[in-house]
Amino acid sequence: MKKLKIFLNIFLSFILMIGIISSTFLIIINNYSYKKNMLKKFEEINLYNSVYEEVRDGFENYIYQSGLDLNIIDKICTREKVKNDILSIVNSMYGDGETLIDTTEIRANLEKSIMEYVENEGRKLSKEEEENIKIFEDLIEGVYKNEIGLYQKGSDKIARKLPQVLSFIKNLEIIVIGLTAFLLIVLIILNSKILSVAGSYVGVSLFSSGILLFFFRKIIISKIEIDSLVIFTKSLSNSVIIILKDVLSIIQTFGTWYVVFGIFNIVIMNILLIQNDEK
Amino acid sequence: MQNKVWKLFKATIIKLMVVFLFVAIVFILYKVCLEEKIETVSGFVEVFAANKEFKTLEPILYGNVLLHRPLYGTEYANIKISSIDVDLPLYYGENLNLLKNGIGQDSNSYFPGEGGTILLMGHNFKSFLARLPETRIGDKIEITTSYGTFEYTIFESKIVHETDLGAAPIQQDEEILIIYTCYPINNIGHAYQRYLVYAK
Repeated sequence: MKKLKIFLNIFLSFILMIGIISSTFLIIINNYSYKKNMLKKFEEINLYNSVYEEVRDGFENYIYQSGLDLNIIDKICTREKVKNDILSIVNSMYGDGETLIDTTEIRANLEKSIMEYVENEGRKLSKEEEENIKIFEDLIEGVYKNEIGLYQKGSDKIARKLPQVLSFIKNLEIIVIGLTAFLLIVLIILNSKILSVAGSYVGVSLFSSGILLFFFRKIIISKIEIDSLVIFTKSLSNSVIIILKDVLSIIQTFGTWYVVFGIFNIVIMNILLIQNDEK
Repeated sequence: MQNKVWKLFKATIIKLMVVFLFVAIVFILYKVCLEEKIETVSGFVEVFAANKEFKTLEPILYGNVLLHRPLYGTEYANIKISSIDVDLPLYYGENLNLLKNGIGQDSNSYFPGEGGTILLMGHNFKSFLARLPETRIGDKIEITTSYGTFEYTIFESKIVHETDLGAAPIQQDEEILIIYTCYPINNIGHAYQRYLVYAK
């Protein structure tokens, strides 16, 4: 009977360990999938600014060929516009409205700036030049649509599945945390006469969870060259790299706490057990 | 007291052995069931990853064969057209981002010394090739690479439509340097024409 109980305790603490690890991963994933958290992260990693810089870069490529001054860019597209368009994409991803990327403002600003430039230079435009300006405006509009459209295309695909995936993860998180709590209660009931036994096995689960979190982190680092990750654009790649590193650091923090609490629990509960034996 | 410490030590070691057992079980499960799948996933991720630290050997010219060719996007030479005060870095590649920093080389064309067409391009703003139409037949163009310096003499120039690809044929019978820029120089908007200079 005593051997069976020991076996049951070990078995339950093993399942508890799986529960702790799964809950940890689900909490991390859930934390990142909340719209509010995602937007906060975008602010933190300065995503809007780096996308704006990429758009600017794209504009520069054509403005260099156009004979116009580079400072024209500041007049045709603002950081605010880029930020609002990204926000509209994120909102549509979460089913809060549609993505509306309007480039008429950019075109109108560009046309106005070109006309100002022509006026300042005292030039008269020929029909051919007017035609060239129209093509140039199309190219500039195309740059913006391409840069932001890339995020839109990705978000359209995600938007179709995201609500289901989010609700699945949320439900899974509740189930896994519920099951983990249930296992803890079973472990306590099984050792209701000497609670410190249950406590020491919880320590075992926590300690092994911590070690395994370190192990999983090591696997991720060794299998994926995170710093070299390239996903479509520089700003998107940098964002993914920063988020991945963030996740790895959270895993490490959880791992450290589990190891510390685990070993602490094992020692304290064993001291209580010995005191209990003496009584 | 000593007995108590020994008991505590023993109990803790037993629990740590259980921890070790758990970790070992998960490790074995990972090796047996997951490692291959993770390799597949990481291989998939590698498709999106690029090793940024390319290391190449210095280019060496054997006859007209260039060994260790420069990588796309790298600055491998310097181009000088003294008659119009042009002294710019030369990049291997036609990417618009490269053209912001200097002169680009069509990646389908040949390198100096290889005996074929070297097709170069650059923007037409002041500090770059705005003065290219001012060059005259007989002017010199000098390209300095790590494997040698090459001098070419301009023998022709012309203005073509941007779609006239025949004006810059890539061939390997004769070493000809073609350098072009958008035209007209003081153009506003999209430039339809190209100003080409030929040298050998």
